[in-house]
Amino acid sequence: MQEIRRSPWECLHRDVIESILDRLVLLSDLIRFGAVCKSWNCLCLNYYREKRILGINNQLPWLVVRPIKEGRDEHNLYNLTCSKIIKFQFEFDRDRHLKSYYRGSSHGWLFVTQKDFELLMFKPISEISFRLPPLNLKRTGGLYKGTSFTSNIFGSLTLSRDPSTCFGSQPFEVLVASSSMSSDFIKFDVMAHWKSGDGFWTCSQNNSKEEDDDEYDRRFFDFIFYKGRMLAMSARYSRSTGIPQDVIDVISISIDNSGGFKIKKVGSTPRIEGLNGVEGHLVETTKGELLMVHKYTNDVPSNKLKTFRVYKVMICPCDSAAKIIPIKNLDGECLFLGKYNHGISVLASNYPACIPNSIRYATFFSQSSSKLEVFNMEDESISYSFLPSGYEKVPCMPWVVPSMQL
Amino acid sequence: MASSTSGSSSSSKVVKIRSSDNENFEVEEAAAARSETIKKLLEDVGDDADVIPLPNVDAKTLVKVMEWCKKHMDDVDELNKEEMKTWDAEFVDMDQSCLYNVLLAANFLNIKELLDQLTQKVADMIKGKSPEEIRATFNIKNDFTPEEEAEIRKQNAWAFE
Repeated sequence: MQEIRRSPWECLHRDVIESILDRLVLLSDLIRFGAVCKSWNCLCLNYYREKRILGINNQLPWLVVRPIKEGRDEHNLYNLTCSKIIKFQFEFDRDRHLKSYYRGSSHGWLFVTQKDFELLMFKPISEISFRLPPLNLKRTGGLYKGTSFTSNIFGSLTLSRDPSTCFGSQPFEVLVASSSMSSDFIKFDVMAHWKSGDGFWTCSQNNSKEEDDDEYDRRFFDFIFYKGRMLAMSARYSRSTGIPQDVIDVISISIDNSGGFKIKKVGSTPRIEGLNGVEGHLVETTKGELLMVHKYTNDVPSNKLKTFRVYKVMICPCDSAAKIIPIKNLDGECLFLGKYNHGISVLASNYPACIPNSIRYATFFSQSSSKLEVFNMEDESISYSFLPSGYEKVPCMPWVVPSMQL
Repeated sequence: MASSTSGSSSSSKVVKIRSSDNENFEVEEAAAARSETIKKLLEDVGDDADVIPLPNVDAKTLVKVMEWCKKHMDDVDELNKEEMKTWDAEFVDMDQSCLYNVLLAANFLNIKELLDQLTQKVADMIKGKSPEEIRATFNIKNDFTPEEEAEIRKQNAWAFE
């Protein structure tokens, strides 16, 4: 009788296996490791689950693209690591009045606006989706593009974690910016918060407290769930003239028992004089540091990228103030940003396709539909990287972090 | 009795260690102490130590591990860093069964730097390979049923394209 001899590699010590798997940087390598044999499959799944529960998933993101052709309801993902296109299917109830249904991505999920004030989140590849409750805002201003207004305009949108890693009963939360105006003039002056299990959103409209005068409106550029806190990048605009203050703030957000938003400014950064079109991002690095990114563009309609400014935000444990310092490099990391997209940071040395200390920016503008802007922080130069021919970017939905389907 | 004597100065202290297959080795203390496990044992028994038994490591593997420890006994200055890198790369380039034993020994003997080099080597042997190629590299049998394997591939099909 022939004995089936097992390779000793199948039963390696747990510490050793973890050290090996830590070095398999690409998710595809980890997935293939798990397809070798039953015991490696088990090791791989346990390892991956633990990492995801800790919120660790520093993968190079995929870019959401679509083929340039008529009736283009098709979505694809572009894998920069191997320059491959991955197809995925998704159907949703579009609001045909909107120029774009796409509303950013966070923790591997994509968001689309649907009819009747709904927001739908879905995970490409896994093809799972989740409907968020309707967000009904009081609106002022005219009709949207001459039609009845049945969709919300959403700005930046952030998840506290990947809901598909909420094994057990851990809740997840969503913070989103929206507009109180239902006209073409969009200002993201409202923020809304939703926690899994709730039947409604908590909304900051007429419901937010900040010790200050009534002369200014707050507008929200970006949110982040960072080390147990809810933070936003935000600036104040004069109610009468619409002129912004010359600083951009980091604010800490909390929601009290009565469902009221409490806003506390923890730090500010100067807005570059003479440059308009500022956009902002809050990003957590792979080392757990918090970065605040200002993006400056030319005025509408060109919206051409001018420059970035990056600051490191160090929040003291007492939460009352943050030390904010400008930085000139990203410690070897590479940022992936896009309008309304939750910013992603990866260690460039792990991926040959990445330039260290650079920012890749991907938002759709007509003149840049097939190229990505690459800003090198060290010499402040701007270069371009091109998509495979026949594909273009999708508005507001640029980067999505891959994950393993369990 | 096998002994490791090459190049050691007469003043440096020598310790005796014994492999699982009862071979004794004499190693310079500074080299042996690269192993946290041996270092701790030496501290515990002091100068009374006769021979330190290492029941988990056979002679062939111990020779390999001590070769690494000797090379990494002293601090490396900038000049020799490149040379050391080449030496390390050649050192970890061994067949998979030998690699397995040295990896296990490095783990048991708690030699962090060596363990890092070996796990990196194993990771490099996995990277970019298909499951079939990985099985061949590590001599592992496919114990999935065809249905199970198809299901695993289907779940994350993009990683197998």
